[in-house]
Amino acid sequence: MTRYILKRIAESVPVFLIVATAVFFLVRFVPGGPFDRERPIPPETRAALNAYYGLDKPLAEQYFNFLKNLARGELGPSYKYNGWNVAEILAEKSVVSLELGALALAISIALGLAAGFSSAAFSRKRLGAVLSGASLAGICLPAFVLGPVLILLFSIKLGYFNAMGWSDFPRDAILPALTLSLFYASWIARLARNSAIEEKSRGYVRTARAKGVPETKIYIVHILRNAIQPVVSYIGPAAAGLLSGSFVVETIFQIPGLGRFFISSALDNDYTMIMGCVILYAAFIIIFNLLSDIALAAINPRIAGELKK
Amino acid sequence: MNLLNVENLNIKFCTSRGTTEAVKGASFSVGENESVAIVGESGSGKTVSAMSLTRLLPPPPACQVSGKIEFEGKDVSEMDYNELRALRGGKIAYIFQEPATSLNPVFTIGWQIAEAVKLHFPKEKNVREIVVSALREVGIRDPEERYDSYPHELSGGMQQRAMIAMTLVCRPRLLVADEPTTALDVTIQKQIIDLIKRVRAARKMSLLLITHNFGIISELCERVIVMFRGRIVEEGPCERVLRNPSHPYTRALIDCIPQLGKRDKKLKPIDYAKLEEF
Repeated sequence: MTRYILKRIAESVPVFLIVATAVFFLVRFVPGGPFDRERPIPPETRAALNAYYGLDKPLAEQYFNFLKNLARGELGPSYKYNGWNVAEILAEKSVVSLELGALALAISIALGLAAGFSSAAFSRKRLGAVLSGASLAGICLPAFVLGPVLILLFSIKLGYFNAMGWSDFPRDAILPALTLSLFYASWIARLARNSAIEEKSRGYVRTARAKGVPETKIYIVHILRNAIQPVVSYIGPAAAGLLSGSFVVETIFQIPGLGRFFISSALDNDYTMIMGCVILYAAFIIIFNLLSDIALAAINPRIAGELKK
Repeated sequence: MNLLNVENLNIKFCTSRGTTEAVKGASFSVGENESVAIVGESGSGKTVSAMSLTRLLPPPPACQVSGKIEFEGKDVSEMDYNELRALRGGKIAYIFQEPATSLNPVFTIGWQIAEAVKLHFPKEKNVREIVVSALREVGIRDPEERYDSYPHELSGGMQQRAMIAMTLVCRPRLLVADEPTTALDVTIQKQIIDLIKRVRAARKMSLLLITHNFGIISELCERVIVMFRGRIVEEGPCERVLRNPSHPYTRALIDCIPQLGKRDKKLKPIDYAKLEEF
């Protein structure tokens, strides 16, 4: 298992490099530059800025400098936020996004599994249909509708929470986390439901029934351990998405998280910031996919057997 | 008294695309320590008949079962859920066609067999020893180590042996084997047949064998029941039915067994138009 993890980490290095390279060149091919404003700046100023940030050097040299810095964990200074390093900004903002994302992830998994598995258990009853319909609605309802509705209901009408802001964790995180998690919870619920319904017709269920295992035990012990597998593989990328922040939710609730930087850095052509955001997201994806694969191997010995090879 | 008595069994499946009568008025019995085969082609109703013995079919309205099924003199349809669970595995045990899908892929075979022991003998303390000795009895080598193997680590033949071990630990009185060798290689088939024969003799179990393979019937069974389109068309001692079938369907079934050494003889498919008359 340790060998497998090391192998996966080694494999992720080239993936990481390819992502970094692609984003490095892509941002530079986008029309416009980091110092373009509505009103053109004097050419001398532009030249001085370019020289200061090293943007006047040949592309190849810039690329090797970028890789050199990346190897040391340095992402360079932000072009937009004077005096700030990208790494500093990301480190500071990611704390907020990690707190919010972790809460949202916990809610998504708990709610999604509970709804999905009970919906499959009662698939022929009314409860199953209700839960299944609710999860479909949850997938369709966008955050920019749900967020304001929650604010209206719980902050303005009932006064339980602050309508926006980020000063009182975890209290201030509850509404945004709910908004953020509804889609993921619904998606997990649908995955869990479909997978459990499929597993219910497997041969091993018939065997368990034929040897006299009670129905509830068949479902909870025999079926769920098999049915949870697609959910576990989905949780990897879902966690990366949730923990890297959300532009919409952070804007609605005025949360100083990472999500807004993904959008604003691209709008500002803030090269180093764009690259920092993309590299951070890529790192999240790689790490959480690895974690979900390890969890999958713990659940299904057959997968573990394949990993040993 | 017979161990199992089935009278006028009817099984109907109601789906959105209409109703199918899978079994129409079948009556048969299995005696103490007797081995009986039900033969017939796919869709003749043999598997659903076997499943209905312990009410393993889907609940109504999807599936409607009527008729009388008596086991040890007790009406199965009147049993409550706890009696039914004691019957399943405890008195009537099943092995199925595909051992690979019949075992749960995420639990060790030892755990799955032990589960059966714990269900039917909750006070038993030496569960592991019982499982290991059952694994040994069905001819699995190194049963101590195999206890912790997962189904995918065993071959098809070994998986079927593990399934048989799972039925043995509960000491059932009737073993229902539904096409136990169909998914296996011919050489392994012979081993499994010999194994069933051996454990049946050792444990004095009755056997209800569901198959379309006449070869294994004569090896294992004393009596044979022929099913065609949900009806029992012929019944009798194995030798008599095989040598001198009285129903044209039985004859057609026997005629379409390929025979070694008869080079000129073409395989004879069943002519259903001709059978319609009966």
